[in-house]
Amino acid sequence: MDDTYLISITTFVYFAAALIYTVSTVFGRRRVERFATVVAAAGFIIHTGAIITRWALSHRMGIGHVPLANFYESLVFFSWSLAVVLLCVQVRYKNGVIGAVISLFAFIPLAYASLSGAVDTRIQPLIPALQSNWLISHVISAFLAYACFAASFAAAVLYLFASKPRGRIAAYLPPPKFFDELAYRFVSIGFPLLTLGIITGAVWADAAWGRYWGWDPKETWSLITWMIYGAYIHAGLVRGWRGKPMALISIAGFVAVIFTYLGVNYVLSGLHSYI
Amino acid sequence: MKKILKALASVKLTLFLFLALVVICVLGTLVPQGLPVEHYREAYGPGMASFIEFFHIYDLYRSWWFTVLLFFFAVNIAACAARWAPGILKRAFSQDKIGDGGVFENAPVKRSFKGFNEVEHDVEQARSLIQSVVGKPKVMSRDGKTYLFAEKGRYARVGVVAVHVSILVILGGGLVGSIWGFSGQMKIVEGSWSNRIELSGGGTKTLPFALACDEFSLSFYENGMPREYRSEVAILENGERVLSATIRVNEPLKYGGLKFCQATYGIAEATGFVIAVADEGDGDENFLVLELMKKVPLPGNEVSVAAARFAPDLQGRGPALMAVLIRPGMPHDIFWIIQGEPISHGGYIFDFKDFEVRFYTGIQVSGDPGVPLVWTGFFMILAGFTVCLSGPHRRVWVRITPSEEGGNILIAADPGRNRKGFEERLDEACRVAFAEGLHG
Repeated sequence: MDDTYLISITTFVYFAAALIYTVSTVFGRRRVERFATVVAAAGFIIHTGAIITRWALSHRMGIGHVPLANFYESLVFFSWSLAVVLLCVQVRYKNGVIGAVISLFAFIPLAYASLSGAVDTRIQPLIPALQSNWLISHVISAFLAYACFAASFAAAVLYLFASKPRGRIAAYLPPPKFFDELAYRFVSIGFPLLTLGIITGAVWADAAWGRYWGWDPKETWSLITWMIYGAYIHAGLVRGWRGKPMALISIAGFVAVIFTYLGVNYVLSGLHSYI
Repeated sequence: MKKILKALASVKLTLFLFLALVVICVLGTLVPQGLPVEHYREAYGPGMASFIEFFHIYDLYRSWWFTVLLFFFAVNIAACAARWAPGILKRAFSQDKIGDGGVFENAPVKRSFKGFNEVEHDVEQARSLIQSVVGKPKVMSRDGKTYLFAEKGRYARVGVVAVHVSILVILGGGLVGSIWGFSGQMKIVEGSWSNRIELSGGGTKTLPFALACDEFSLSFYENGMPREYRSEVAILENGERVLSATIRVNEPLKYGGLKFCQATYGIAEATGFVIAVADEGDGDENFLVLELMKKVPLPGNEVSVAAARFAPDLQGRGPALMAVLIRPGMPHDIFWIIQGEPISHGGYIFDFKDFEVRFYTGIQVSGDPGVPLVWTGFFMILAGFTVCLSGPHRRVWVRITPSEEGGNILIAADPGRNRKGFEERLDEACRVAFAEGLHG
């Protein structure tokens, strides 16, 4: 079976999960929320199957490599990372609201990758620059970090809604403190992962280009992202900031993440022309 | 002096420096870096260009004031480390097992209750209590009192110190590299050698040995995407080959403390141009092998052809040969023949079939004595994060004092982080161990 077909199924499953989570929140039903997690987990299994299928297909084509090498594959893996975060969150917190938002986040890159028609879904061979053992650890750590930051962003936005006095949405939400702490927790996991992503990238760049750091736009923007979250952690841990200012830094951090991921490739130019 | 140290160690300064560095880095990605001054004049106008020039914005990351900011960043970290690290290290490496440092008075979490009036039983209960919240306790006696102590995540805060010190180490490595390091490119034509590096900041550097290129080759996948760039090279010491190696992208050669990476390639020279010339009248086709600036006559004819110039890639259309058609009594006819695009001229159809090339390989050479430091810093920061993430430093002390109406049990704890969650677990464990007598 073609992997892109499995990905289209996954796309719909994640959307369904987002809907079911929303329903569970609006009607306050615990069992519906559990069901949504089962649906999301099913989507995750199909998603993982799609990635493995694509891997196998590339080997059958004689250009075998882990499917982490072009824009399409990065979107699929970003969504997969978000699904990992979603399932971890649901096992620990069992919260329908954050579940709805993160499944929606997992849906968006897949929808763009498989339904928009704007992304080349073909399996391509690895160009010389990508033929390295560092590819896997670099991409996995970077995208898991991105997913954590996306989840922190979701929690930060929900915090802003939840903390509005007499807000219409606030009535359906847990207390704002829950989201405040959740947003921080995601960053405290995402930050070391981003550090790992930057370090594996640096060691790789040293082997490929002869220098570990060259102020290439992608490198610079990853550092910008790192510094924003570094500031976030210091503000929260040492200065004791809470609530709105922290939510705003988390949102700014995620804007930087998106720019590091997409903006650098579409707005600026540099060595990192493959995603 | 103390005030200055405190200001330099403040997290307010940290936040300010993060903000400033973020703004500058963003600016550096918006304004193209390292281009000639004329470019900025054209793109931004003379006023803006002189501003860019004055503040070194064309080469931001190497400007003096960016360096100053990084210096303050390092000083900020160092000052913080100087302020906090001694206490953290002291706490991590010296254990106050019986809590005579005043923990039973000052610990952030305290509980006291009456035991079961039987010291041995109380100790057993306290032991299982500690076991369930932190881990296996040590039991000690002094002055008739029994003490229990357990801890976990002892080096959690040391991890924080390691992360901060590692950033200093990385910055130090960067500094070493920027002072004593260099990078540049060597262009070596197949079958020749070179010891000259064109430095990326301008100027050249001569190596004490030479790099020879025996062969450069490139290959493609079926769909036309590049598959491999490969240079077969050798190191020459005093004219002797001491080492042969292959350099591929991602597989550099390391020699003499330097790293040689495959960076680029190009056609150094082309010879033996094969063209097919077909007479449009009788369809007669002849193959000619041309060299640059040499006339070759067409068989049985007064007409001859010469190659004037070769272009590896003419306006993006591929390799092309500038041919000269020489006919008696007529002016020379000069035109380009692009490979794969036969062209009709003066009654003949010219088709550029083939040629032989000699490539040159472009090798990126770098020598950076700061790299080991940077790698050490990378290792430290990852180790530090691993320790931090494995949980906070949690300590629990118990003191059991025998008395007339039953053991007086005192619990002191330092949860390190997440105090609320810890207290919930502790209270639950207390309820299980000492169902009665809990004073809170």
